[in-house]
Amino acid sequence: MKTINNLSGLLLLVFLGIVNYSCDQEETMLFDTDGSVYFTTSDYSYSFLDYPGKEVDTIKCPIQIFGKASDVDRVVKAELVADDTSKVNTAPEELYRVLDGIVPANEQLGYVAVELKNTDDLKDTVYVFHIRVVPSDEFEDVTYNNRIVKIQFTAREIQPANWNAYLRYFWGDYSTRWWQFIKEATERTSIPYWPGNADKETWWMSDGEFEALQVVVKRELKRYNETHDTPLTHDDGTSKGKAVQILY
Amino acid sequence: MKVKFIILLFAIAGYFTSCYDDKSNTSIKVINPLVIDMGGAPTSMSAFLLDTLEIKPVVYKIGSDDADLSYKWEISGNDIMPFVMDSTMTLKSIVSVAPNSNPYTIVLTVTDNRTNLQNYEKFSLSVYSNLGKGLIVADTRDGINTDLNLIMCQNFTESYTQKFDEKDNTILRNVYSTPNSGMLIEGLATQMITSVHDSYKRTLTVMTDHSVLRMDPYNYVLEKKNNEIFYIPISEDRFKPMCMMYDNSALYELMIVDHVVYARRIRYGNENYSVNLETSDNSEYSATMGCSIVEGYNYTSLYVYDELNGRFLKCPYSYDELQVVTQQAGGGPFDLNNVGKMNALFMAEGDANAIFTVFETKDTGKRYLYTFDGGSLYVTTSKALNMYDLTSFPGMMDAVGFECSPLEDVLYYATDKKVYALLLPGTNPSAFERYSVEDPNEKITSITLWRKGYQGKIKFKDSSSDEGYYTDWAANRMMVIAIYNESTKEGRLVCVPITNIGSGILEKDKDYHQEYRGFGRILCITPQTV
Repeated sequence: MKTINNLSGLLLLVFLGIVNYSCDQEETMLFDTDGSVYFTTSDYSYSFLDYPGKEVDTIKCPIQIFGKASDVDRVVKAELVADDTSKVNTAPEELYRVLDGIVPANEQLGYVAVELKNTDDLKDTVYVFHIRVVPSDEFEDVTYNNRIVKIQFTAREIQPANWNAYLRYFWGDYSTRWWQFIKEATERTSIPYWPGNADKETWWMSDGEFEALQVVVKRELKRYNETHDTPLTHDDGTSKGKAVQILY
Repeated sequence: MKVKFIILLFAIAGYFTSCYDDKSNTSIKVINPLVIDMGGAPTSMSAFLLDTLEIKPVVYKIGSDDADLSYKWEISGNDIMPFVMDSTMTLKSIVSVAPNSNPYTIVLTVTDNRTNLQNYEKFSLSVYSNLGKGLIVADTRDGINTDLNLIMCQNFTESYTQKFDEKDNTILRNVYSTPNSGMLIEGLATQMITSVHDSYKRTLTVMTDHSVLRMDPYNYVLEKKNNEIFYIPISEDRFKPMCMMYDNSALYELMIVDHVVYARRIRYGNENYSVNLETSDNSEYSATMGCSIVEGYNYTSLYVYDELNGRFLKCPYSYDELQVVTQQAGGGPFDLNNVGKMNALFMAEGDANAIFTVFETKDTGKRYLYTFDGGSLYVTTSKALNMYDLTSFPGMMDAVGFECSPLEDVLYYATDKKVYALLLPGTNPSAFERYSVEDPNEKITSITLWRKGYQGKIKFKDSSSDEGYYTDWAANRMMVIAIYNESTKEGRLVCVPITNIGSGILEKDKDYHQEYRGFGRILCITPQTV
């Protein structure tokens, strides 16, 4: 009897000990894996027409990290996509160079720089090539999102780089006629509005200014449609033949 | 033998004398040095913009009592054009360079005019701003250009720590021209507004009848002008600013330029005016005046007066159009959408948040006061309240200024000699003279009610208190009267307490009037609230 009591007592003690030990508050798991980096756009177009006189220029394809920001600058490496049959590169190699990219210290946004050269061919050609991010010392795993950027460059009129990233949400599908109309209505040669793009030198326009231009375009389109037999229509692109619609 | 000895002697003599030191090129005449003696005082210092900076070195040429020296104190740094502050031994000059986190460099060059010898001493000057809240006064001394002045004192500055005493008031004169290299504002200022959202960009906007200037009231350095503060540029022939308005709830500034209304969102530091506003029914309009709501958080709506159609247009909280007014059913003393052919002279927030508008008929024969409840963000209809024929009240047809108050059913008006309060309640409103200027050379040029809350205090006479007065917030209880003396060419401001709310009574005892003197002709004033 005494032994059983002792045993039960001991068992109870052990039991209490285990209960205490096992019921720890589970700590919320913090983000722990290595970060990664990816392009925030699938295409980037550039026209030497917007920068008369330039023979060489550098474009900055925007990238974003996930994971923690670092307190030092981090290098991002990118390469030409040469092994994908669905991505045809028509640009002659001597006209472009993929440079190193950077995510600055304490930042979430960065860019990959690509140098482009002008040539007479570009006056009536649009050259295309594709790039992707590759692993580097600072970013070992770049499979997240795995976006490939289709870079188009020319010296002709072309859909601006921020159309798909931003302008399309206000102005719908791109067409040459629609873009020309927008430029005429706002009396501008470009609309450098791309919030979230780290390259603030190229994409400097503020929310307030863009909002004002939106209203100007809306009023001009209304005026055009009221004074013409047929409404303004897309002349090419995905919405060719359809009337221009303002989305927002 | 002897010859050899003599030759040896000569040789020895020669040996000893051959290495004779050639001292011919060491016959230097020592020039007495120039000494700049700071006496232990530091060469690194700080000062406020518009302070007078004094640096007193002792400069002399050793051994020479009557040295002929000239001095140059030159300041440079922070991208300014270097300039000479003073040309005497002691620097005594007003600090006119903008405040900056990096210090400026001041170099003293002393030249001995006889020998062209120079000596230098370098100083480092950090400039800070103490240009804070108060009252900005725009004045003109030549009738052509404008300068700005800042008064910081008990009446106009929040929790001003100095004692309530005339000699403790700070009046900083020429607060625009000094940091702007002596340049005045071209033209005569008609209106000014300061605004800010949280800790984003502070702005002071000054308007003349043909230009707009934008600066930071922290340093008054001109930042932007005219079309630089409009996203969609206005053509030069139409750049005629007429009126500025301010909405304290929605945080918007408005400007009427050549009868067209533009709105600027202040939130998040947006600096510029957006595209012009159009009416909700797409009709033409010609705005001439609007009102501000500078205090209060009940989202009271702002209005502009459309002279073309003789109607009021409402500014919605989103400021994306001018709305045609919807009136409450049941009619009223007048139709907000059709007041007839009238010119608006004055428009402001009056009793119980009603909008007070003083009109003059187009033939300038009569003047009226129209009051209406303009609704708010939540109350979308408006209601005409009252219409008063002002024409026969004393001095009314010669009035140079009007004012009203959210706290009293009163219309104040001023001729160039007297200020009256027109008590509106009842069937027979009466006007009472409340203030007058005695000096035959003096004229009242404007009356302004201090509307800013929690900034500025005033003493009210109270015979029941020990000191004979009590101090309280000046909001809606202080009338600021601007006066100009034609013969001395001096402008001054008088702050008069409104003693009894509801009766428009201005304190008669001049001991309780606070005066600020020494201005040119005062053009306009605005509280500096940021």
